[in-house]
This record gives sequence, structure tokens and C-alpha cells, in this order.
Amino acid sequence: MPDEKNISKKNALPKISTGIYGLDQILEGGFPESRTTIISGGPGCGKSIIGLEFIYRNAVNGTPGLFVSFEEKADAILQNAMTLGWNLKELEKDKKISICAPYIDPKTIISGQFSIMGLMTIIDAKLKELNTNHMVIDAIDILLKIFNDESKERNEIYSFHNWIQEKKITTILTVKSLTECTSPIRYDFLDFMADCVIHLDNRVDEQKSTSRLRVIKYRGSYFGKNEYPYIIKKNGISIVPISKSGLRHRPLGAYISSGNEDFDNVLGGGYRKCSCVLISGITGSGKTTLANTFIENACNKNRSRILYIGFEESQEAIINNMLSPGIDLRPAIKTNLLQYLTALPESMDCEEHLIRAFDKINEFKPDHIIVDSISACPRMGSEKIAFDYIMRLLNFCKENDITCFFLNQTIKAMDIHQISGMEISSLIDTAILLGMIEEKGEINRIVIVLKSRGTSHSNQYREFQITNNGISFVDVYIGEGGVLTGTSRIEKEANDAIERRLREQEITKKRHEIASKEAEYEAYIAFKRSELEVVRNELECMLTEEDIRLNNVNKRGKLRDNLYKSEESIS
Amino acid sequence: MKNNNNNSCSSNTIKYRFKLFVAGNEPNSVQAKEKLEKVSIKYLNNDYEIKIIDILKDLNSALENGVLVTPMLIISLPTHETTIVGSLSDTDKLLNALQLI
Repeated sequence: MPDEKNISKKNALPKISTGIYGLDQILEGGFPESRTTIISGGPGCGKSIIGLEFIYRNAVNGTPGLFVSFEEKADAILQNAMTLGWNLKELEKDKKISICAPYIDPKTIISGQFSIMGLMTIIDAKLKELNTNHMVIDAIDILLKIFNDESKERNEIYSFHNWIQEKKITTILTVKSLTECTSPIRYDFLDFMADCVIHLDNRVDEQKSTSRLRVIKYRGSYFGKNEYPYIIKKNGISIVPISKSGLRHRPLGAYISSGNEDFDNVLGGGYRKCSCVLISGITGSGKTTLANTFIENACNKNRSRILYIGFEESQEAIINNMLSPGIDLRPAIKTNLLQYLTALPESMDCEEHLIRAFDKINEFKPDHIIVDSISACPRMGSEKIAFDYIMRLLNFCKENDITCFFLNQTIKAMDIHQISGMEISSLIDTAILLGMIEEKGEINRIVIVLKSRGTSHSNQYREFQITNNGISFVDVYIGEGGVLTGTSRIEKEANDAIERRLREQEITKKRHEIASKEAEYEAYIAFKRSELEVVRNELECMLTEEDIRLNNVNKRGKLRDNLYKSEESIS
Repeated sequence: MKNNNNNSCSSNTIKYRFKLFVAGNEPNSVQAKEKLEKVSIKYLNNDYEIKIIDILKDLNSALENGVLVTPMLIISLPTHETTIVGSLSDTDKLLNALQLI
């Protein structure tokens, strides 16, 4: 239990851990100390196991406890505990546990008044011997039957309860549930008397039986009011209540490589730590290969720990199948960085699957988990159960900073709507859709990142191939007319090349034309200039002639002037 | 209080053997003790042995015999072990158990 919880509870009712983590969460700390708790339920619900686990866990942690059973013999109790891995004999030797299984002879004759003084004396002595005040009384109803009278039963149990209260004994009483009793109302007064009442029940839903636990009342304390499913697993009771404290998810962490450089670019840097990645696609689209590409890289290069939860293939099958695309997982397994948890969805109910996964995660402490595949989960019972499983697994992982990879097998090839994968889309940080395009007698693999929170991912379909050397991305065709794959892409690229060459030729031709036009122009200019020159020369000639003519006139004039003057003098 | 209270007269042949578990001086226990002695004297011709065990003092025999309620009478002779609980106010039941009716 976290320390904060203890501090905040200090002023409240003192409590003692039930020894069952999930139940402590529901009861906000544990059973009420020095008070009476009643656990009721039908046969096979695990009433005795809850009681025994309380005694066992506290004894292991140093607080001794007394277990009184009216139903089973001490040997049987020890043996049952052994199957759960609890060595009670050892603890009994160390005076940490005392098991007391008094036999009540059903043929006992009743004559007159009597009281359960004997029981109280035995309990008192045993508790003193153990130096404790914790006890469990299993199947108190069997003891009460000996009175064979309702009002006597009631009186006796009330005086017993008073005695318990006086002695301040933390008591857990288990009682057969009301519905299982022949006279249903017979023991309901116990519920009114006790400070804390827990009901267990076992129901069959859609052919799967589920045990559920509900706290009916808890004087002086808050408690989880829902019905909580639980299972009895190989080392005790397990309850995983959905965290009541709301969402405690941490922000997305650092980039982690997908194991393929090109795909990292498509993702805008890689996956993000602590995120939830959904990889969807039809069968054979490469989901497992993509996930295992990541696993190989993360384990071998980054020494990350990965848990692979498989519902479809066995560990051996996955390892073998991955050798074909050149992904060798064996070193990761050898170094214990990669572990598998495989089971058929039908083999257990949701609660068992979940608790098995939580136990493995708690034990192995992986950095990332892969679930292959969530589309198999409805086989645990129903869509709702699958949703519950995924939600709680995801929630658990997010709270523990674990990156989740969910593989989801879709039915239609490229159905974007199906990607949402059972309404969990809002919890998905990165959604990757793998698809196959059938065209011109071939199938080509494509991938698109539909969304990726916190990264600037590519918005285009990208083509990839699964080669003997892993996943290989093909360069994007960035020309006109959409994304093309396979032969179409190659054809289109060839056509483009021809077109380009033609265009280049056209350009050279024009260049030449211009050059010749320029030359032509130059020649024309030269010709015109020479023409001009000729005219200019002619003009020059004419001007010279004119000059000469003018000179001659002047000379003549001068001569003629002299003559004129003489003529004037004659007259 | 005495732990053992042997009222046996004929030592070799005891026809009736009782173990009565009591809790101190609690009224029911006292009543049972008195009643058993009275019935024994009246019906059993001294062929009996009564062992009275106070569980407040002798817890181990209480544990061994699974004495959860007091008073408790265990009859080991003449019948198979028979248990009677209570103050023995119903004499017929006791006599019935002793196969005297």
C-alpha cells in the first residue's frame, strides 16, 4: 500500500490489510481493525480462501492470526493452502498461525440451555498463545445450526459479537450466502450486526462463470461500491478494480525506433514511449512482421524488455515464422528480454486473462507489450468483455509507463472505419493501417499512419515489401496522379522518363532556333548598316561636289564684280 | 473447584462413563452438574464414573474434544460416544441417551 494512503487514513478508522491488493483498494485500506467483518457467499465462491489469505498474508508479514473452521478439518485446510502455495505448517510451527477445526457432531442431543462459552474460551486462549487479535471464523452458520432455534442463534451470536468487541478482536466471519440457505432470512441479522459486509457471488454469463464481489456496507469508511470480478488463481484471490482515482496516464515519452529507418520517417521520428499503438490490417498484411521488426530492434539495440501477449500463435511458431523475413528473435529470448504469454482466448475468462497478464507484467516489468491480436479478444466471451479486457490492460500499462502495441485484424482490406478497433480509438495514440492493393495481377503492401499524437507523421500511403531481410520501404512516387504501387509505379516511372526526355529535346530545338534567329538578326543588321553606309557615302560625295561648285561661283563673282564696277563708271 | 470428581464405587465393572465439560460456575454448567449427579444416583446404581472438566482451567481437553459449547456431556459408555449439550433440564433426553427409556 502506498504511504500517502496510510497517512490520509490515520484519522479515520484503523484498518488492517486484507492481504489481497485489489480488495484493499476496494475497502480503501483493508478490514476494520478490532471490528467484525462478514463475508457471505454461495458454495465455491472463495469465502474461506479470502479468510485464509488474510490470515496467511498477515502471518507472513509478521502479524499472527487464528483460523477457526467449522466446515473443514485442519488437515484439509493445510492441504488446500498447500495447493495455493501457502505453507501453513511452517507458519504454525513458528506460532504465526493457528488452525482450529473443532468437530461438531451432527447427532448431538440438546437438552436445556447452553452457550458458546467453550468456543470463546478456546479462542481467547489461542489468541493469547499467538499474541494477536486477528481471527477468521469460517462457516459460523454451521456452529449456529446446533442451537436449532432462531432466537437462540441470534442471542448467542449477539453475545458473541459483544464479547469480540470487548476483546477488540479483528474478526472475519464467513457465512453461507442467503440465497443458498434453506431459510434465507435466517442469517441476515449478521449483516446488520457487522461493521463491514462483503457479498460474493458466482454467475454464469454467456457460458462463462464469473465470480463477483460487492461490499454491502462498511461503517465509518468509504469503499468501492461496484461489483468487482475476481478470480481464484494459483496463489490466491485476485481482484483488479478499475482505478477509482481517475486517469493517471503520463505524457508520451521519448521517440523509440520502429526498427526501420524509413518507417521512422513516416511516423515522424518513431513510436513514442508510453503510447498506445494500434496496428490494423487484414490477415497477411504484415502486422506481426512490423511488430516483430520493432521487437528485434528494441531488444537487441536498446535492451528493452518486451512482453508478447499472443492469442493466435505459439511462441515457437512466431519465432519460426519470423525467421523467414530475416527477423531473429532468439537472441532476445536468450537474454530474457523478450517473454511470451500465450493462451487461447477461450481457455479462460476475461478476469483470468487480465490477472495473468498483470501478474506477468508485475513480475517481468516490461518496457513494451505487444498484444497479438485484440481482434481475438471477443472470443473470451463477448465484445463487451473484450472491450473491458483491452481497456483495463491499456489503463494498467499507461499507469505503469508501458508502451502498448495492439495488433488488430480487420476484415475488409482498407477499411479506415474499422481501424477504430472496438471503440478504443480515443485511447490510441498512434494508428497504423496496413493494407494490400490488388492491381494488374499482383498484390502490393501499403501502409499509412492514420494518426499519431505528438509526431508530425507522413500523410501518404507508402509502399513496402517484406523481404528476406525484413521490411523494406520503396521510394515514394512523388509525381502527379496519386500514390502508385508495384508495377504501376514502375510503369509510371518509365513513362515519366520518356516524357522527360522528349521535353528536353524540345527545349534544345528551341534553343537552336533562337540561336539561328539571332544570327539571322545580326546578319540583317549588318546588311542594313552597310546600306546606310552607302547612302551616307553618296551624301558625302554630293556635299563635296556642292562645295566645289560654290567655290567656283565665288571666284567668278569676284571677277564679274570688277567688270560691273567699270561699267558703272562708264555710264 | 476440583478438576476430577470420581464417583466410582465398583472399580472393575463400570457401566456408565461420563465426561462433563463445564465453564466455571456459569449457571447452565452448575445446573448440568447437579442434574447429572441426581440422575446418576437415582438410576445408575453406582455403576458409573463422572469426570468433570472445567474448560476454563483445562483448555487442552476442551480442544481435544471439540468443546465449543458448555455445558457438554460426552457419554462414552454404555453406548457409542454420544454428546449432549445443555443444562440437561430435559431428563427424558438424557435417559433416552442412556437407553434407560
